Amino acid sequence: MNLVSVRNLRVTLPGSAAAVVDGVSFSIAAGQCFGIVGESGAGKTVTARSLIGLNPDGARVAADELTVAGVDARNLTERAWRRLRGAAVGLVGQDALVSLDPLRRVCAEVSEPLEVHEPGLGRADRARRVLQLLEQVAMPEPALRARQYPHELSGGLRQRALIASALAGSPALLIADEPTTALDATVQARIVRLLRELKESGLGLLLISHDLAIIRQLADEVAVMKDGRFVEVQAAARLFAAPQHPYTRGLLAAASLSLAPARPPVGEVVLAARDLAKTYGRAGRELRAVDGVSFELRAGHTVGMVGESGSGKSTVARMLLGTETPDRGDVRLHGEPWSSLPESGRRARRGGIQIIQQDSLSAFDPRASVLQILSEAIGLNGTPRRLRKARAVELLLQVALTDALLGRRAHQLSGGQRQRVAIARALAREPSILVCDEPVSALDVSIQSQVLELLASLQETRGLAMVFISHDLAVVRGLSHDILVMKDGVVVEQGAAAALFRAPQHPFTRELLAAHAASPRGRSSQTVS
Amino acid sequence: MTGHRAGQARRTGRPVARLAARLVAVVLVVWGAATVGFFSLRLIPGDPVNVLIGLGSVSERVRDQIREDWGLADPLVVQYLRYLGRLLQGDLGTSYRMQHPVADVIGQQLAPTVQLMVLAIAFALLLACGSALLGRDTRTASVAGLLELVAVSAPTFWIGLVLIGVFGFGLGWFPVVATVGFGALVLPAVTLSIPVAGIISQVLRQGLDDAEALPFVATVRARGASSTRLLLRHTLRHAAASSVTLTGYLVGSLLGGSVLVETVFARPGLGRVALNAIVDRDVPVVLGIIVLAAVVFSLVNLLVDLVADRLDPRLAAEQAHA
Repeated sequence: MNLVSVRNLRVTLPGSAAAVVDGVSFSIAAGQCFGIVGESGAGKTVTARSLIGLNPDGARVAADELTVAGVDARNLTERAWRRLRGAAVGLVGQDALVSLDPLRRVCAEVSEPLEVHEPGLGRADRARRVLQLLEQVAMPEPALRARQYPHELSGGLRQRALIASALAGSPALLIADEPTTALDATVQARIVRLLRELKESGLGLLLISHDLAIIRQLADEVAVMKDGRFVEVQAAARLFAAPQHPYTRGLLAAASLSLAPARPPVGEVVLAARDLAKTYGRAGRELRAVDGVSFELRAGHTVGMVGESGSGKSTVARMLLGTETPDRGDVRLHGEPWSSLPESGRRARRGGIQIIQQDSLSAFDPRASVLQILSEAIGLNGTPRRLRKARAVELLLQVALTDALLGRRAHQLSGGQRQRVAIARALAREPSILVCDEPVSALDVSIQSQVLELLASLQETRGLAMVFISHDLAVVRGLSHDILVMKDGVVVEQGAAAALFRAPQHPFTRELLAAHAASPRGRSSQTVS
Repeated sequence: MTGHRAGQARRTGRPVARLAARLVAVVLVVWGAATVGFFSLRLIPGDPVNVLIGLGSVSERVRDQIREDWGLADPLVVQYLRYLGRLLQGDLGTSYRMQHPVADVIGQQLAPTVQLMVLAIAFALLLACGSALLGRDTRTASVAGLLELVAVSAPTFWIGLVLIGVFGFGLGWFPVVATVGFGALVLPAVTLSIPVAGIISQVLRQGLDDAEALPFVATVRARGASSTRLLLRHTLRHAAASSVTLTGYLVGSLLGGSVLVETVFARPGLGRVALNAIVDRDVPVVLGIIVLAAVVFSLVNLLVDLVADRLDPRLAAEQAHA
């Protein structure tokens, strides 16, 4: 029997005439996962909330059939809905930091459905059940975690606690609305595994995500939602193998590009390079390091520069920073001359363009503590001495470190921490442009993705423009809006990231892409292709 | 369970230090209030000796003798240091007017005012919660808003007179001029509590609205919790965490309000003592009341901080972190 059957569901929200959900039909059986994928605003969450009667006040829900756990849910009273919520259907929201009541301990949150639906249960029995539930979601040290508050847990553990609380009323169906969106990649994988185990144990799952990779890993059947309608509903294997609808194909194509970032609104041009050239060595034994590189970088955008070592990427970076003078061409910063100025003319504006290098161990004074490293950069802004420490702590928090590191020296930090400190130091000058020269190449893959995520989120929150240089296509791909492919000092191909990855023109670009696809990482990052 | 104890031990290590820091702050506030009070009261024109001798007239020699006896002839700094020295021993000086130790003068009148304030706080919280809950329902929200507005904007003495008129003379529920017994305390306490209740209610309602907009509310409702449960177990606590800080400041204002209320209801109490002392220029008594107010104010705020920490564990974590 189906846990849920929905036929021709229509939902209108107050203040808008158009239906947010417009004629949607699906059903979910026990042990099955039904996935809804689509961009934000497609109506995914409203569809899911309709199954537990939790749409905003004034929402009008109509359906030919809306059966939840054997109950016709079309005209339920609030009291009847409450009997279903938690007991027949559980809800797991996006980020447990905000989806759990921050003022209550984990045990109180997990046991709430028990208090609501099994009022006869004694305090001791409830406590036992809470521990069982936490064990069921593989929470380490459940007795300790139960006593903690959500903010005291890591993102992954918090999400487990949220899942435990959704399971507490023993629902047959779990609605997971973007259950892994706020999590790091590795933690994401663990939560996906947990959800799969729950599904295999017979739980029905309604999975909502904008992330095709998650849907693919869990869903048996997938609906692609756009503007309130299911444009395509297919068994997962078929959908990913042979998408029918153009919108689905577009989604899959975008995803196969290892999730090139969405393009932010067009910002002003903050950095413009025109026909840069640099030659080293004496006449006769010249080395043309860079020849004829031009591009524009806009606020909030990332230009990725990819190529093998020795292709001139770092030389370009130095010319952008103004630490190297181009032989030909020029760099303009915020529309004003930059590379053509003498250093004294550049100094006042130096703070606006900062660099993050590959090897931060050698980029730091080995005798300086993190506090000294940061204070020096902070002081350059004219911040009074007494305020510098507070600002340093603030910067550390922005790069997801804590003030516990203030007293450490560079060699006492892990590679990931060191790179975060390097980012914090760059941010201290409040730059509008970051030049990142192989910023994650010295790091482990899992740490890499964390640092990249940090850079992406900093870009989003601060509208930073970035020049991102790497030999590693996978790394450049995840961040860049525009790409320059460099070989022997020359740009062989240049363009918008999505187009360039979809249809590479130059043989060298194809070679790079092929190598990337053949590498184990390339394959795993192309789960959806 | 051992893990749980270890967790508690970790948490108590720092709060002790924080409590100590807060107690130091209390001492500093009281010292500051005493200092500012001491010097500003010296700026009042007029000779304290006139206050001391009352209406009689005495010769200049006697006046000098009195100055000598009361230490008024010494330089101001010496007087200040002597005052601080006595204050440290708990000696608030001697009233010019009554020739009694200030501590006794205040002590005798402390009880009625404390009773009044405690009851007023209780009423204020009760009224505020009632009005905030009334404001939950969209049908009665505007009523609650109107009540709040009246409560906040009506002058205390007017509220007092209205209450006396209606419940004292009109309905005869409460005595109008009695000074003993619980009945005599009700009208003054209600009078004192109404403006405070209005403000707390406004903040509480805002806090509830803010809390209900938080994402976790969907989770709670998806568990099948009723709106009563959502309110009592979840959002009220969020709202309280934002209102409780305000309550601390309002206690300070209650102290000031008691002057008016005690006058309107002709009750004994600190308010009356303060008023008389100011009129009579009885400097040691005024100063004593200033110091007392500073002590009460900072202790209440200390208490409020501790309660706020209990209500929102994230606050304690932040401060331990800072």
